[in-house]
Amino acid sequence: MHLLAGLDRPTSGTVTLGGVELTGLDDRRLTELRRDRVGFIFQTFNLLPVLSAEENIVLPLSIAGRDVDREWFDRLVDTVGIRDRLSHRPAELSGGQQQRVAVARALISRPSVVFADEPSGNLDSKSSGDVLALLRQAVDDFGQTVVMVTHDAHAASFADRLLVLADGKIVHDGPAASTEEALDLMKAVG
Amino acid sequence: MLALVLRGFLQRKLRVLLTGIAIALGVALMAGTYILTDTINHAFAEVFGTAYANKAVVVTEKETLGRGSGSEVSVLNAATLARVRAVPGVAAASGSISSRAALLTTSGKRLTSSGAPALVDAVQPPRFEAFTAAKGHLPSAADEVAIDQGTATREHLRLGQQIVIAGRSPARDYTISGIAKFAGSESFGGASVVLLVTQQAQYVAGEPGAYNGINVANSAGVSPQELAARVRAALPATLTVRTGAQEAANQTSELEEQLGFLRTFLLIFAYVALVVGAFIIFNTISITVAQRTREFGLLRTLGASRGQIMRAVVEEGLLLGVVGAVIGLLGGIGLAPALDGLFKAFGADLPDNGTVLEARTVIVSLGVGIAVTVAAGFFPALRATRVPPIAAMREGVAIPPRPLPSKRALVIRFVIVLVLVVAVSSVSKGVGVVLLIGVVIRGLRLRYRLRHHGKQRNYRVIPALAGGIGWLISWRGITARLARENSVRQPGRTLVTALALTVGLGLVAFISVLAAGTKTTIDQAVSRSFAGSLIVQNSQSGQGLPAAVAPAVRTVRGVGAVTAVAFTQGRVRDLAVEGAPVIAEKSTVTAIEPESFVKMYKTEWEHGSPATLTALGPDDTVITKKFASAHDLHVGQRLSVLTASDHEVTLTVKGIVKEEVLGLLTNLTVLRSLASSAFGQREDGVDFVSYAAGANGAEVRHGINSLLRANFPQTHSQTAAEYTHEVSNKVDKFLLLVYVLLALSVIVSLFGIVNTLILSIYERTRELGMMRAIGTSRSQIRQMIRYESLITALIGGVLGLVIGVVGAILVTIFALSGEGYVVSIPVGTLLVTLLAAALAGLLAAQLPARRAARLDVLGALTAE
Repeated sequence: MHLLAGLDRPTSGTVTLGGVELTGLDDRRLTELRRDRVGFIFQTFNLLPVLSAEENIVLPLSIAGRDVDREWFDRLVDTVGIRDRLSHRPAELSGGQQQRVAVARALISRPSVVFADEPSGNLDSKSSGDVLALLRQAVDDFGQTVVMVTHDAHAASFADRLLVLADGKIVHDGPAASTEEALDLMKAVG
Repeated sequence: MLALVLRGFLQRKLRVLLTGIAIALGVALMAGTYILTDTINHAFAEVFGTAYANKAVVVTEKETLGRGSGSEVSVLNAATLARVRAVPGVAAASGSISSRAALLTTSGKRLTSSGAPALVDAVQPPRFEAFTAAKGHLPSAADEVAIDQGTATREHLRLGQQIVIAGRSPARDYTISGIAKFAGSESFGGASVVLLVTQQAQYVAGEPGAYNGINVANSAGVSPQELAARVRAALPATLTVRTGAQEAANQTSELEEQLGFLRTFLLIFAYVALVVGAFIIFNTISITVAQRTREFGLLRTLGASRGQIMRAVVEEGLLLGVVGAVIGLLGGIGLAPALDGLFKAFGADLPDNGTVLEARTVIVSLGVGIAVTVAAGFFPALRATRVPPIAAMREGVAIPPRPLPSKRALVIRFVIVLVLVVAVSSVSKGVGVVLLIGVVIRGLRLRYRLRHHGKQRNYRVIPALAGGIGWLISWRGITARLARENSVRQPGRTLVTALALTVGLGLVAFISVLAAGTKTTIDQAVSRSFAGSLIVQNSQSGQGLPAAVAPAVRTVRGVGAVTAVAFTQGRVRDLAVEGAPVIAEKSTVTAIEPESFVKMYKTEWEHGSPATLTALGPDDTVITKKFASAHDLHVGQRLSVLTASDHEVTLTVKGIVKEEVLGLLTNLTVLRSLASSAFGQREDGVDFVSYAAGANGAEVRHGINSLLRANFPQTHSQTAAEYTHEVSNKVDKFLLLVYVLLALSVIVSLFGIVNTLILSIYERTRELGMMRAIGTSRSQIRQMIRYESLITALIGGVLGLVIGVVGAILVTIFALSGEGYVVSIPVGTLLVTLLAAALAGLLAAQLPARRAARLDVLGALTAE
């Protein structure tokens, strides 16, 4: 996933994102690409503790020096359901709330793709379900592509396409699966 | 545990180096100061030792009231010399006369570096003369002069060339007959020396027939001590008789005393730098202790005692101190010549023959450097001991605050600390002061904590300042916004980092305000009191004006009046009190010519009027209000004054003037005729000139200047405006020197900013990784760090300016306004200071910003 997101460079092969070949890009272009075309959701939320929830959500736009599309912002905030928490700082939010802020941050710049690295890994089951539902909603309602990495079969069951990796090789590539099917697939690689 | 500390050190080389430098710079200045002053002392001791090596006994004048400034008449003469020669056991005796004079080229350029006066000595018979001719011959005719090789080389002087010597008599031309070496070395400890035949040396000194020293050689079988005793018995008690060795030691110790001032002056700046360094060490160790909470928790879990944790941190401070102090000492050895160069650049030429590194220098520099570091690291070490073992298991365990001690424990602790501080102060005052400041800060903090028992400490100043500065740069977007927030994330840390800068900049502000006040005060004083047209002075300040100048200027066409003012001193006894106790050991005395003086100098009176001055008799004096109130003196009171030439005069107080500190009238004012008779004063300080009514000012001045150039080339005339301009230039020059020395403290505080930034960046590694991942460019990261540094630096700058300006205003109002000082705020200088703080902040951010921008995104994201 680090390769796909332009965080690391492949030793061989190529990565193409939204029609752009990443392999040959320099650091500046890669950075701009991540800023404009990629959204990130991390296991440990990674919000800036010094900024409010609202400021965290619009951070990618602030970095790019762009204006906030208020309509889109409002829609995102309502979708993730943190309108009453906008002025709070991360330390004043629960884990689930923080991750929902992170989801909104990943979507704010309408990226080509959102990469989610174990988005539910640090959450209790209730919050975890909420966040996964949110990602699903992003795909269904906003037509957002989401690439998620997870060890959790339940999380995997939310996806439309399922790839199983074992020791760096794709051992399964198939359509959506239920939690049990996903679990079986993952068990198979041990 | 030591092995652990050492390993930790090697892993954090950059930080150790940066922190070590914080203390090293202060130590370097300290070591450099000792080395420089020791070198100078050593050079002079050698010079004096050589100068008196071949003189068994030396007769000089009694040193009443620090006589030797050379402005009093010499009392030795041919008769004294004859009496010395008659003493049995005297193989030879020769009279010497030494004075200070200006050395110029025939075109009027001063030959001595930075205009310092040269020594003019009478050439002695070969057995006494320490100088030998390297080229040509020592003077034997009236128009011949020998000059030391050092000066000759520097000024490219050749045999046969004409030079001008301007002392107390009208200047004369001499032909260089010889280039002289002083006991094999090129110069006389760096000073310029010229040798003339005795009669010419007496002419330059303005004292025909007089000597101010007699050199005596002993016959075989008579020891110098024995001979000294015999000579002493043959001469009046008003003369001093010493052996050559005693005289050399005496002159050396006198010089050391004078140099003590230089040492103290420089050491002040070293201690300031050390205080700043202590701030930084305290901050750095505090931050690392906080960052290593988990590590300490783990050690505690594994069974390490509190004492062991404490030792580990203290040992780290100790090692840091050793590293810093050693670097500092080595730096000091390199710095000493630079300091010498600095003083040369600012006009003080000091001799330097080789570098003298005394054991004391090494011990004191290392000791102070290590002590300051360990002391600064002690409090964070104490904090580290309070890490609970649970910290090993969880992240974000805060170190619990220290339980508050009982009042009794506090008092006991206070007494113990006070005793310790006093004990340390008796060894080294500087360290004592540093400790005292530390104790006071601790005390204030404890008081604060006692009052706000249990409440979270909250900062107001830092967020407010950061907010204000952040607002100013908020147009720079998200990087500025984040920088502002980051700078208040740990307000205590930011405060200490900024305070390190505050110390240096606060002193800059303080001194610049005082200096501006001084300039304004002088300006006002001159325009208020000076009513003449021109001021004639020696163009080298502090040097006297030949008494012959005033009568000479009077003869210039168009000159209305000339008044000469001389300055001397006396020991004052109050005759109104039984036993006539001494009330002022060395009281300054102004000597005036009242008739012309009152026309050109205005002053305010407490008792009396200008008429009091014009009616002043030879037994009368006028005193200042300050002197009067300090010693409870009144009009009509009688005072006994011992003069510099050992006369006792009785004076009656006739009036009291409200003279301010920069006024011309000093403690006592007497007639100039009395000064030249009873005080032996033969030089003036300044002459005031006024043009005759209807005279063309430009023409008169031209006439005066031509006269001065021809006969007294060491003097010059100035209008009041030119004079104040010159004074203000001098103040500026001194300020520049102080700024250069304070710059060291500012540089030290820059290392503090660098250190704090690097440590904060380390703490925020993952945050930075995330920012990079979501598309923050490297230059944006750099910008953010730079702004953070800028904000910290400006907080330090603003606090410094406020403290410095307020401090200077308070000092002026409470301590100096009584003497007529006014407050003046040098807005331009202060703005430049703030700008310098901002630039310093940006400079300090370079390295941390580069490091932050270079972070590997993936590595940073997965960092713990």
